[in-house]
Amino acid sequence: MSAEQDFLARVAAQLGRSPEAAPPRFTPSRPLPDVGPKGAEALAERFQKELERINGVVHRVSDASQVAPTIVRILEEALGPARAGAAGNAGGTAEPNGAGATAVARWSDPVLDEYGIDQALEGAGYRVLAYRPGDDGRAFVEQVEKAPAGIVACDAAIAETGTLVMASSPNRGRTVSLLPPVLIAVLRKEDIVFDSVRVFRRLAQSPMASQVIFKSGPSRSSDIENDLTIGVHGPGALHVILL
Amino acid sequence: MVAKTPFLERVEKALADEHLRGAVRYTAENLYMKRKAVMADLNALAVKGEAIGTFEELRARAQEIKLHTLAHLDGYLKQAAEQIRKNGGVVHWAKDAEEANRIVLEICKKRGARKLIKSKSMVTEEIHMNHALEAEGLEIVESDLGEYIIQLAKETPAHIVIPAIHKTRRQIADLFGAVAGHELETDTKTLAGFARATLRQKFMNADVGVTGANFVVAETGTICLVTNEGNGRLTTSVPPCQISLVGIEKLVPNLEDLAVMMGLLPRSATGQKITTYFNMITGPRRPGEPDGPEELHVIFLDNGRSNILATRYREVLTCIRCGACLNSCPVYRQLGGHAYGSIYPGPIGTVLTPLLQGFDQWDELLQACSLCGACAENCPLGIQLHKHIIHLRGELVRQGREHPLMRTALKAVHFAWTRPGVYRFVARSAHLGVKPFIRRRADGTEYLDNLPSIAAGWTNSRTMPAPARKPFHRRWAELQREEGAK
Amino acid sequence: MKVSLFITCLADHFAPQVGEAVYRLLRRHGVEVDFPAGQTCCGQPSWNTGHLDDARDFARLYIKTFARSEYIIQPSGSCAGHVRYFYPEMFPEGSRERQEAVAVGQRTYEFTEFMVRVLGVKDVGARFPGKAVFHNNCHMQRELKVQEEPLEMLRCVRDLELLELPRPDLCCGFGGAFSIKEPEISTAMADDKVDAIAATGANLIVSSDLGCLMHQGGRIEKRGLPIRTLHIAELLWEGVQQNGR
Repeated sequence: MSAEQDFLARVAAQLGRSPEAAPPRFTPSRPLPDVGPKGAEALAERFQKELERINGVVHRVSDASQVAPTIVRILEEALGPARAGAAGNAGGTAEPNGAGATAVARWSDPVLDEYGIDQALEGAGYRVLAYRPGDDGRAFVEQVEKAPAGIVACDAAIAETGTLVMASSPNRGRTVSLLPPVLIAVLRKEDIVFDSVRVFRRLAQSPMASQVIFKSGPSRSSDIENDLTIGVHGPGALHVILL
Repeated sequence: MVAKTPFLERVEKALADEHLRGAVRYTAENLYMKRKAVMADLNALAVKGEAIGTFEELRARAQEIKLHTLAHLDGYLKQAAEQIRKNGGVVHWAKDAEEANRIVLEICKKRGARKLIKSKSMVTEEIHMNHALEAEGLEIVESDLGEYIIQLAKETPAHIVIPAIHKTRRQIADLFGAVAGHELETDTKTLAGFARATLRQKFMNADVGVTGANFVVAETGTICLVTNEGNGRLTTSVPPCQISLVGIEKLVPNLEDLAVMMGLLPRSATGQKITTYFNMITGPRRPGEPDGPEELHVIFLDNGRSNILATRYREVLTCIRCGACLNSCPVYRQLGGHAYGSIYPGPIGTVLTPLLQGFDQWDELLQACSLCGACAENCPLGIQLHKHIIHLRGELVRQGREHPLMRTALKAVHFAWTRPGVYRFVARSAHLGVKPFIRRRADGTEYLDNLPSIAAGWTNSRTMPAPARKPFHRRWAELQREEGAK
Repeated sequence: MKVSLFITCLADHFAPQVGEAVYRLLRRHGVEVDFPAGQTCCGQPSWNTGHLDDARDFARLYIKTFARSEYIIQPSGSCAGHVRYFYPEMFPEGSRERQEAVAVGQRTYEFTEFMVRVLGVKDVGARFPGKAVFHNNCHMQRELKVQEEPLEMLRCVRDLELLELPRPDLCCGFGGAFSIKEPEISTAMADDKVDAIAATGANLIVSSDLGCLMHQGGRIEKRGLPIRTLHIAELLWEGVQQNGR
C-alpha cells in the first residue's frame, strides 16, 4: 500500500492539503431532468428510427412465438441456407469437428430459452453453439470466432441513440455479440428507456457486471481517407428483433 | 536571422506537403461541420424536452463534475482503487512514464507474455510504451485501424481521433500489401477487410490486451472505453490478461455522470450522438464466465498531471480528448498533428505538452497560435485554452525564453507608448523613420516593402501600408477647424 | 450626446482617414466627439506576447485617459474586445483596478456596435458599388459578439452586393505579433482567407479591423489580386460622399 499512499499524498499535496479518507458524495447542483417521450410504443418507434439511421435493421414482431422464425429468416437472408448438419449437436461445444452445419452462437442465458430458438435453428439445419458452465472457455471462443452469426438478448435499450445494453454473466459470452459478423439481438419493448441516465441509475443500484456494453449500430470506421466503412472489428450487420 | 529549430523545420515541412494539408483541411472541416450540426440538433431537441440539456448546459454540468473530481482527486482515486480490487482487479501506481513501462514489463514477464494488442490509447503513446516493449523483444500491435496504419508506416498520428488522415488509400494498400505478401486493391472494403482479418488473428493470439480509458468511474471502479470499431471490446474480451493505463484525470465520481460526459464526447469528436461501442469494464471475468480477461491490471499514471493541479491551469486536466479544438483551430488546419511534435497536437497539445513536460523542448508551440479563441468556443469542457496560452507566454517572458529582438521591440513599444508625449513624437517621425523602405505604386500611393530583421517576416510575403505623414492625432485639430469653418 | 474617440495605434499611424470617417459619420448624426490627447495604444501586443505587466500599464493609461468619457468609440473590434474582456482579467478579483477596468469596458464600443446598438442607425445614406465580403475579426466575433451590426449597416449601402464566405469564423492569420513570429503559418492562413474571398467573386474586403485588413491587403498586393481592402467606416463615409451630401 505504500506506493499508493505516496502517490495519493503527492496528489493531495498539490491540492494543498493532506489525503482524504474518502471522497465526498457528489450530486450535481441541478439534478438531471427527466426527458423524452413516454410509453413503450413511442419509445419503440423512436428506438427503431434511431437505429435505422445508423445502419441497424429492426424487425418488429407482435409476440414471442415469432422470434425464432424471424431469426431463421434473418440467418437465411444473411448467410444463405444452412448446410446440412448432423442432428443432436444442439448446444454442444465439445465436438470441434462437429457436423458441417453452419454454427450459430447464442447466449445460453435462460432469457432466450422461452423463444424456442434452438429447435427452430436446428430444424432449419443450423448447429447451435452455446456455452455451458464448465465448458472450456477458450475452445468456446475459438468456435464463436468461426461462427457467422451470434444471437443475444438485451438487458435494455436506449431510444435516444438506438443503443442496445448488454451485461456479461456466466451464461453469456462477450464474444457472442462481438466476433461473428452478423449479430441478432432480441429486445423487449418494455425494456426500452429514452436516455442513458436511466440506464446508468439502474446499473448503479446493483453490483456491476464484469462488462456492460452499449452497442449502437454495426461497427464502423472512417480511418481510410475519411471513407466510412461498416464492419471493422465488431459485427458489420446488426439485426434487432423488437418484441 | 531566426535559426531553424526542430519545430520550425517541422512547420516548414508540413506547409510544403500539399497532400497532408489537403487531408488535414478536409478532415478538420468535415469534423467541425459535423460537430456543429449535431450540437444544433442537440440544442433543438433540448428545447423540445428530448435531451438532458443544450450544449451550454451539458458543458456547465461537465465542468462541475470534472472540477469537483479534480478538487478531490486523491479521494476518488482511492475509492476507484478499492472498487477495482473488490472486483478482482489489481491496481498499480506509476508516478512517471518510466515507472509505468516498468510495471507493464513486469506484468508481461510474470505471465510469460510476448504478444500484446492495444486498443487506441494516447496515454500509452505519451509514455512511449510501444518502444519500451519492443526494446525487450515483445510484440505490440495497434488494433485501431488508423493507429495500425501509422504503426506499419512507423509514423506518429496526424490527428487525435483519426490518426492516419494523411495517408492515401494507395499508401495504405501498399502498407497492408507488405504484410499480406501480395498486392491489394485500394477500395475501402478490401483494405478494411484485410485489417479486420489480420487484426482478428492478432486478437485471438494475444497474451495481453492493453487499453487506455476514456473515463473511470470511482463509485464502481469501472473503466470506460469509447470506440466505433469494436477493437476496445475485442481487446478486453479475448486476451487472457488486460492492462489499462489511466491518466489520473480520467476519473468521474458516479455512473450517472457518464450521461453528461457521453452526451458531449462523441458529439464533439465526430459529430455522432453516440459511438458504436461504449464499454464499461469492472474487474476481470467473474467465475464461470467463458470469456474476458482472467487478470485485469489498472495502472494509474501521474507523469506531470498532479503538478498541474496546483496551478492556474488546473482546468486543462478536464480535457476529454475529443479533438474539437483541433478541428476548429486555424493553425492546426494548416499544419496537421506532426508539426507539433507531441502526441497531443493542436490547441490542447500547445498547452498540455509544456505543462506536462516543461518548456525546454516545447516553448515554441506556444507561439503557434493567433489567439482567435475558436478552441475555447468549441471545447465541451469550456477550457479557455487561448487564455492559458497567454499566461504561459507570460511565464516564458518571465523566464527570459523569448526571441531577443522581439523582446527589445516589445519593451521599446512599452517604453514609448506608455508615455503619450513620446508616443506622439514617434508617430510623427514614423514616415521619416521608414523612408528607406517606402515604395511608390503606379497611382502615387505609398507602401512599405523589404523591411529588415524580424519585420522581414512580414514583408517576405506581404506589403505593408506606409505610415501616414500626418498621424490622426495631428489631423484632429484640423478636423475641428474644418468643422468650425462650415 | 457626447462620445470620445479612441483612434487605436494602427489607425493613428497607418490609416488616419479611418479616424476622419468615424468622426464625420458621428458628427452627421449629431454626436459631439472629443479626442482625449493622452491616448496611445490599448496594449494588446504586450498582453498577447506575454508581457503581462506591460499590458497592465497600458490598461491603466487607457482607464485614466478615458476616465470622464461616457462612451468610448473605437474603429476596431479587436481593441474594443481587448479592453472589455481582457482588461478586467489583468487585475485581481475584488480590486479597485478591476472595477475600473470593468467600468471602462462597459463604456467602450466598437464603431458599428455603437452606431447600431446605441444610436440605432443602420442606414447612413451611403452608395458604394461593389461586391464585398465583410471580414469579422476574432475578438469581435467571440468576445464582443458583434456579428450582425456591421452586416446590417453594409446591407443599407446602395449598390453594394454583400457576399458570404463558407467559413466566416476562420481566423485570417493576423493575430498581432503572430504575423511576424510565425510568418509562414500566418501567410498560409492569409492565403486560405484571401482565396476563399476571391472565390466568391468579391472585389472588396471590408472589416472593422485594420490589423486584419493590413495582413490580407498586404498579401493581396504581393500576389497581385484585384481586391481592395477597406475599413467599414471608410467605406461608409466614402459612400456618403458618393451619394451626394
